[in-house]
Amino acid sequence: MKPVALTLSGLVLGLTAVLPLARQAATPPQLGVQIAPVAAPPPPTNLGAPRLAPTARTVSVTGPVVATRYGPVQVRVVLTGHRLVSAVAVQLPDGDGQSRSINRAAGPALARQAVASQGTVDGISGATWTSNGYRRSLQAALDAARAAATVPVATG
Amino acid sequence: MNIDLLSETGILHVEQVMGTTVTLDVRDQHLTRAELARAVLAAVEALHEADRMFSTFRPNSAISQLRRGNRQPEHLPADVVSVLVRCAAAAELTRGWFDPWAMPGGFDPTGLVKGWAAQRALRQLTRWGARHALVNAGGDIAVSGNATATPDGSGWAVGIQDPFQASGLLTTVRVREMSVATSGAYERGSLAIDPANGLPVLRLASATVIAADLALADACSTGAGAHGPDALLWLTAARGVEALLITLDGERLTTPGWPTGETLDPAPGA
Repeated sequence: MKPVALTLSGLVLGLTAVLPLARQAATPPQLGVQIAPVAAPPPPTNLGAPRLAPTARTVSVTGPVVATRYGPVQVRVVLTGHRLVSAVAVQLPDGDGQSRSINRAAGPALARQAVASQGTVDGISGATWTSNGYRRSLQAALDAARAAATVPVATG
Repeated sequence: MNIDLLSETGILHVEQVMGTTVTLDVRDQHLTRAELARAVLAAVEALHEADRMFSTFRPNSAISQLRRGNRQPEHLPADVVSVLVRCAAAAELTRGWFDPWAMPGGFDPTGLVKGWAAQRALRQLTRWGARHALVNAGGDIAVSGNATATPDGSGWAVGIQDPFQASGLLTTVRVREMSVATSGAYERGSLAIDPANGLPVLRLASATVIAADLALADACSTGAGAHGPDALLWLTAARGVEALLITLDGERLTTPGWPTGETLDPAPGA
């Protein structure tokens, strides 16, 4: 059995799945799309687990610059364990005065939506994907985030 | 890496099998990495075994031999008999809209086997000590325990893919010891076959079914895709089954018991 082959590059792929939220934030919300925000997760409980074990690591990843209809977008995400704890837009389209003001609102909205979508969804049900379709799927984005958080820390 | 360490974060494994990608997401924090690896190995083996038995693309699979008439039913492996029985039950429940015996090219249980195999893989994870796990076989999901890896009863939040927008979700349902299967034409084109004439049809944008058993949920979503919006009648009549159908016009149809709130979960199946 091969170990999990997903790496941070997979997370970058996953980011491109999150990125359309940036466009959504700058346009009226589309009907039929709702990503339900759920209450913040309870603080982790270790239940007296030996401290020998690797703790849930915090990983910060900056995604690639992606060209969108409105201009270049780049996002940095921070993951602790399997939770996406924050997403910050590093770069957003910076056009005329109107889009700058939209961007000031879109940045936090993007972060909230990215956290809401990834932090509260554990799996994606959809029409059967092929191996190629999987790479573009939201499940692949979730898997990339989980894989980054579950790779054990090398000890020696 | 020391393999005897407690994992604390669980394990994620992605396997290419059955022509799709299967995610095994185990959240248990108090198993060692070796124990997690053994559980995942058993689950992965169950998936490949199902593929060997039921692939219609493998000339020597039990199902291919059955299709050619080379095997008499009394000489079939017990697992094949079990799938045949489930197919018959699902055909009856779907009022013939899921009918593996009416497929062009001969008996073809593909619409149920993927869910059956994923449910079996989850059982292997449980058998090897994992209490909190999700198996996602190409969009068909079976879960045990809770995503939080604690006994808080919070279940798992399953997002349902928007058929019209690749990065969007229609809704999120929270399920406990339940399964979720979705059929649709938006990934690989329409795979729905009308059992009446064996011809491909496109009658729904997507059909999502929740049931206790993923094999049944898979068969019901396949049958709904073949039938169209009227499938809501038999989906509503079926006990322990809830469904969300998206018509080709984007209209949402649900069974009366479909969870409407973000944290509601359906009653366990009958």
